[in-house]
Amino acid sequence: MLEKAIIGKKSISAGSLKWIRLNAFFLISAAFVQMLGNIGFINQYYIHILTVMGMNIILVASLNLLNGYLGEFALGHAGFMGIGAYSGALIAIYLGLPFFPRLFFSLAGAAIVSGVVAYIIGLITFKTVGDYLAVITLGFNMIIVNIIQNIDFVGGPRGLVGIPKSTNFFIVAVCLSFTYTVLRNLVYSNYGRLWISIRENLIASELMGVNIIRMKNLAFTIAASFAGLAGSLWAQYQQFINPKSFDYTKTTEILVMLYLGGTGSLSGSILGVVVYTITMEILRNLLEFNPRLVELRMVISPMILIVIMLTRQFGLMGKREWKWIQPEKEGN
Amino acid sequence: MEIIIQQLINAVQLGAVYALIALGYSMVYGIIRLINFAHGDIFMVGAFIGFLLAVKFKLPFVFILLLTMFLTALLGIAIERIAYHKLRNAHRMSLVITALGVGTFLENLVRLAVGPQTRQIPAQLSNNILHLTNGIVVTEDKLLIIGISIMLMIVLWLFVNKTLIGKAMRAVADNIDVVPLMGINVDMIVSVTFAIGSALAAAGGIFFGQSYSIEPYMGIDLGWKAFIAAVVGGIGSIEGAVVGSFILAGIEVFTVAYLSSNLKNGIAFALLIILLVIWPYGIMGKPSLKKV
Amino acid sequence: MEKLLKIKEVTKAFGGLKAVSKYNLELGKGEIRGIIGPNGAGKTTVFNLITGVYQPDSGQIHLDGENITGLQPDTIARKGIARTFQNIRLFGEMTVWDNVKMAFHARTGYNFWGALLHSASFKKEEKRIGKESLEFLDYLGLAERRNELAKNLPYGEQRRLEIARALATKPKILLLDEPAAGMNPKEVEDLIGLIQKIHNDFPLSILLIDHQMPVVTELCHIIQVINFGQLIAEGTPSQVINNPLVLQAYLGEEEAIA
Repeated sequence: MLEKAIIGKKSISAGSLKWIRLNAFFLISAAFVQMLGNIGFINQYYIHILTVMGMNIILVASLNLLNGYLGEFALGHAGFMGIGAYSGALIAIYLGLPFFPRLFFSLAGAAIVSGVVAYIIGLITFKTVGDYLAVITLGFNMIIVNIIQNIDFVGGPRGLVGIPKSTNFFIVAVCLSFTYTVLRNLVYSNYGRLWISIRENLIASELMGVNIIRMKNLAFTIAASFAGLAGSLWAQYQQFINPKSFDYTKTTEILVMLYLGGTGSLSGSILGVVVYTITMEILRNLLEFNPRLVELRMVISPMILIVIMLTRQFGLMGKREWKWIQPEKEGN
Repeated sequence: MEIIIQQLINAVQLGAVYALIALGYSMVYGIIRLINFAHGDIFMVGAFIGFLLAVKFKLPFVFILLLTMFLTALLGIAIERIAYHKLRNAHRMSLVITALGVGTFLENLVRLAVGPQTRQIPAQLSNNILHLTNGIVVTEDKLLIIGISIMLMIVLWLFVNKTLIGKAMRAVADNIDVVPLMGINVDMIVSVTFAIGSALAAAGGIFFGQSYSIEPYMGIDLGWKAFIAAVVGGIGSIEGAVVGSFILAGIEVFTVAYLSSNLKNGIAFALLIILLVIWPYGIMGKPSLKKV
Repeated sequence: MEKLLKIKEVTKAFGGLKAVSKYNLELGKGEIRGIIGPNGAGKTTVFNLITGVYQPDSGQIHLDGENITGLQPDTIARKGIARTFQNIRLFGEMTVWDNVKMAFHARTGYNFWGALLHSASFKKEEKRIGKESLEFLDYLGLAERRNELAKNLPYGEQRRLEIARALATKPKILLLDEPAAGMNPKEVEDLIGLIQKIHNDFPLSILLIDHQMPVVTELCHIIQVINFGQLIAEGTPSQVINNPLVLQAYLGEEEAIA
């Protein structure tokens, strides 16, 4: 009934129906969990972990588009998250809107601002050759943190406070469902085939008539938009942001989760975030008795990354995909 | 005029440190096509080894320098053997990611060991002020640092261009697949490259620590700058790394002096992008022919 | 009659060495032409110049009366030139089917938003692309293999998949770069039959490079021989085989090898 209401009269294939059902089920469960959290039936700590996981999945899956499907090597994802966080926070603080429009515009606005910045950087970067995307995005990440630190209006290095709280677990779940619908639909379309073809053999792809620069920049812009969305969610969840939280360390964390789960697999992004977050939380609880030792986590996390690379180059999922993510094949 | 010359001396000093780091980046990239993101952190570890030797054992400067270079060279070899070796024929991205992991690991390990606070390597070199002509002053340590750095670069150049191992290194850089057929031990060459690169970075770390304070995350920023320098000069080229380093240092010093210190990273970044658009292969790099 | 492809006085040098020098070629509609020459004669360079991988230092290239000199490779490809590669370039981690589906990218009837929403027109188009690409696979005897990864196919099938992928772009001109490389005589014979079949079934012209004489002589109406980047002979297979310059080029090479 619910699907009918959403879709109206249009005929819809079994594949899409399955996806819509899955998402509906996910959102209903998320709402339920949120409710149980609100009445104190589920510990706030667990709700918090779930919320952070949700935001991280958006970050990791969007970077996956770039580093996994397109096969590029971008190192500035946290920078785009930061742009989104700050632009989203400013919209939320200064536009003085009621809750729902505020939430909508701060999320959409953040995604657009990050996307536009990425598009401009991409225009320049993809004209160069070689490994320079890595360099330029990494540099960009540092510069953006540097710039924010120097703007007094947003609090400089002390950070921006007083952001209204609009994000909770349920809102993150809605955004996650939206992110996965967009990413999945694109990956399983002409666009996905072209991105993967560029990864697999750039020269052949170009000589098959693919406009490489355009396709790369499209992926870059989309990935950055979702990073911006996640940043805005984060800002409105924490109610406080500072430039340091979007530096290179955050980018590394995103990369660790991405490569742990496996590049080129949307399932891998979910798995990577979940496994990483749970491992880190367990470590935190184990090491809590000595505050010095809690910092050991910062040593263990990169070690995990190295060990994965040495033992399972393509992460936990390889390039496989859970069945429920794949759409029905058309034209079989 | 005096001020400009004074700034120029500062630029040369900073450029020398950048060059010592950039050389390692460039050599490693030349040999195994790896952007070794851990290299800046090797530089940082070098600085801290120097710090420990200076504080705990109070050795004279020359010993500190040589011992630090030696120990850091071993670290470089170990990192290559443990983390990179197995991935040499794997997808290139796995190698870069691993390097990133190694870098983060080193940063956090040092932080765990010595704490996050900044430190000063106790002055080892005399900082007597020398008066050059026209009221230009320079401290002895500055001159010494510049002198030793340039000497190290000359030794490196001679090593790469005049010795047998150096020739083998260039052969590996040219075509790593053919070289084993010629009876060159590639593993040995790669180890030597990492050793030299790390030792130079360690020297850079100690020189840096003579003028600035050191902390566990300093390698990120400096490593990145040195990498820009290497790319600007043409990555894979020794001369390019040196030229790029002095250009970058010059721009940075003069930006701080005449514009604003807040702009220096932004301008370095802008420089990188502009240069890459004009010279995609760097100032001294060779374009590689597209093979179809 | 206006020729389909016209190359006029094209020169390309790499660091002083002239890979191709004042090279001319005319290819009419529906023709099969071959280019032969010893290794390193500049054959692949000619293909790279036609497809825009290299820009010529001088000279012009026209396709269907339009000057395509200096255009980007992807633009030239979309204008109707498809090619295969001497060292096979497939999309290894993609399925055989997706390799061919990918070739439909310039003729898909849905846009970005259609893909984003998996709209009705998206589904219709994907169905059509699936069906048509399967026809190409079937034509080259690869339909059974459609769900395997391209990298897992044996060598001969990989070569056929490359041809299927090129055909699926509906090209005006098909460039085949040493299609018989690494094949045994039986496979070479099959390949010759296949190319002939393609030539009969599709409205396209074929330009073929090989250094194996039989492939070229059996297939092509007119053959060019190049050596050291220069055209040394052009004519029917029998004319070319008896040309003393050609014999010299080939014998010269054998001596050098021996």
